[in-house]
Amino acid sequence: MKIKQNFAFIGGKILTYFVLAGVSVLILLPFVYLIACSFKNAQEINLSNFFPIAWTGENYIAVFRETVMLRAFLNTFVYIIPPVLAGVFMSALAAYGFARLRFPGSKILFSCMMATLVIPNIIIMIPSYVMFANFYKWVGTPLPVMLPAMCGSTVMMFFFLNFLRTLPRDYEEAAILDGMSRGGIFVTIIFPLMKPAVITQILLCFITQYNDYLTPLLYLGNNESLFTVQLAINQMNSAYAVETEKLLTACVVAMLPTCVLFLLCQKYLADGISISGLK
Amino acid sequence: MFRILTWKQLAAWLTAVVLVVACFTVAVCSVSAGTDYGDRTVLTLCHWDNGGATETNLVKEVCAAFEQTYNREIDEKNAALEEGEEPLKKIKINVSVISSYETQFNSIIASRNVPDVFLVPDGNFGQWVQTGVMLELTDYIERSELIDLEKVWPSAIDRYRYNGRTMGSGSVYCMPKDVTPYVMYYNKDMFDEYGVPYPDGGTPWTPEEALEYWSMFGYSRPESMGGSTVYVSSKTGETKIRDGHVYGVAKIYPESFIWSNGADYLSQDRTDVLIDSPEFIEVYDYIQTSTMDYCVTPTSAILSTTSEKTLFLNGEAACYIEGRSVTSDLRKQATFDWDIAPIPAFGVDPDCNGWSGSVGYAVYKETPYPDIAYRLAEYFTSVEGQLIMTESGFSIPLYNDEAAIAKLYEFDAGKKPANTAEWLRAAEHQRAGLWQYLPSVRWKDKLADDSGVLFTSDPSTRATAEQFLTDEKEVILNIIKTDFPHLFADGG
Repeated sequence: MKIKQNFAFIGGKILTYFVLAGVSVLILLPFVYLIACSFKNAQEINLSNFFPIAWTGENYIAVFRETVMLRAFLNTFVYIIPPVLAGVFMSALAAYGFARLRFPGSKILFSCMMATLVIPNIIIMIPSYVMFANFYKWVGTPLPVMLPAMCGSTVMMFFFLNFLRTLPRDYEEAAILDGMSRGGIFVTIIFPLMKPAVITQILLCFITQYNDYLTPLLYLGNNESLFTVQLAINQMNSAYAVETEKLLTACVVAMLPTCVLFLLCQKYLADGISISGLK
Repeated sequence: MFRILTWKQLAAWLTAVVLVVACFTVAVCSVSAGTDYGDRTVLTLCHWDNGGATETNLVKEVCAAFEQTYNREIDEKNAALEEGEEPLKKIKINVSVISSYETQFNSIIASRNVPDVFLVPDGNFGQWVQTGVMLELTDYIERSELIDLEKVWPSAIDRYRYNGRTMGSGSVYCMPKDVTPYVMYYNKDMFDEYGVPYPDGGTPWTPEEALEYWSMFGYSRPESMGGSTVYVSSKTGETKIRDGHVYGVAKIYPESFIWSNGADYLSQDRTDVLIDSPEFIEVYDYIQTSTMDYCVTPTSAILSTTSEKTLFLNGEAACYIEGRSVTSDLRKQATFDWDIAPIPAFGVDPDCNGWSGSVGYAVYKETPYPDIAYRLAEYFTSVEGQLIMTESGFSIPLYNDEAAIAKLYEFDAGKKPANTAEWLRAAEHQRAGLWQYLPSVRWKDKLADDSGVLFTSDPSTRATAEQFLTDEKEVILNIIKTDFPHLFADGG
């Protein structure tokens, strides 16, 4: 009976792994094909062979030499770092305020903030554009890409709020008894304790900002010197002159930062998500 | 419990703050650095990205050459100034590249935030010239020392004329940048394999020759046999089971045959539809027979799943009718020997065997610098500008100019195709496409869409060319009357 059970258990495991392996292959196949195509030459790119017959690295050299990719990488990091760092800090600060402080109208303010979650971004896109274009005159500059994101986001704040609810109040109460200010408590005690959640949010925010195509497209205009990676890739896809092998190579290059970041920080990403209970 | 920041924490906070401030400063500075041109006059030239980085870089190169020439002149003039006279300003050209150009530029025109000089594809000329954003250039051209209209291919300049009612005559509103003639690319390896003689480099095949030679390629007529599809040679009737079709030509364009047969779609004043003329019907009849009986070319249903270029590159079509813009791709991607020949044509006007595409530059009517803007647009059409573009291999010269033609031969030497002369012949004779007939192309799209009844797979439901064109004439005329009532006012 036990042998039979063991056999069923092992059989079930094998089946599970078999299915998982199959699904993994299905998911990974496009990426493998993308990478394989980046090593094909112009003659092979239209052929049906999966892997290149003659492997070449020329596309990688060409992507950096012939396009604005290098400049676009620099721009992307310059536009992303302030929103990621400042945005995470501001969201954590707001979450701390709502989690720990009682002030008049806090519940109404919190409800208003949460209500913004149900408004799709696409709806405020036109008024935002009109405001940035006509009032601030910022269109054609990276400021509309950077400044709003530097103020943080409601989703991020909600994430931190959930995390803060799991932290005991004892540390803060002791610090208050010792005469420490609220700001001091946040900077020296709470924010360091929020490390897993902060790292998770830095990663998620980086990935979101890095992959954002629409915001830079709307606000950066047609000045190539301001392009982000996503816009630089889009520029390679023109109506009559698409060099598919270089376009795919640029996609591989564009994937690298997020892949490296994920590989280095996947522990924090998984921990942070499980701690806060968010999916 | 109380504790202050550790050195490690302090370093982390400081690093974060410094990073934010540094990145923010770099971002803001990069914008101001990009617009700081001192006391120079800044002109903006708006361009599309359809030609990819090659064309964009070339346009920037021509702009830089113009900037250099113009600023040199300014230096010389300033050096000769008397004391107390105001020095003239140098210029700086900003090239603004726009994706989805035709769509986006409509919004730009609507907002009246139009750049000083902007690209005009000949297909959009009619629509945009009517909005009144283009400066009339005829007077400028007459005063110009750089442009001799007599030497420019007439078809290159005439497509940018507008007389207030129709295109093709009247004042010039754009300076042509380039012209892209259409030719027939052919796969020499396939011609050898199937024992088909190469086309003559200078004389187009007649329709009969084209049908005979195209039908010699492979087994392209599908027939059902015992539950599977076999392909029958339309030439010999021999049956063979193959992996797929092989075609003589990737696509046949009716215009080549219609114009060369002396027929036309519309009258000169665009108030009459001429598609029921015997010459026109003859062409549609020919295309129907070639496609449905001889299967020398794929039907539109098959073409919707692939592209003509893919068919040609994969050796599934022996011939491919396309413009010069595809040459650089073929040079890189084709794994076979190939060359170009004239597009097959009827004998009435064999030179008029296709259309050429073109883009030009217009000057915004309300630019504060019309003279400089015109000079920039003119520079692209001038011999100097054409030499730069021809030297790069991107375009065919707009002139019958020895130096420019020599540059073309120099660039093409040792590269495919061998028949460089065909580019020049085609550029000289080919006219603008149907999109230039009227500012909207609804009439031509309707004709193309409705012509599906000529190519139904069931012969019993298939219309004849004469039937279809006679009925369609009224439909097309009604569209033109609805879309362009002004053409019919005052007796047309």
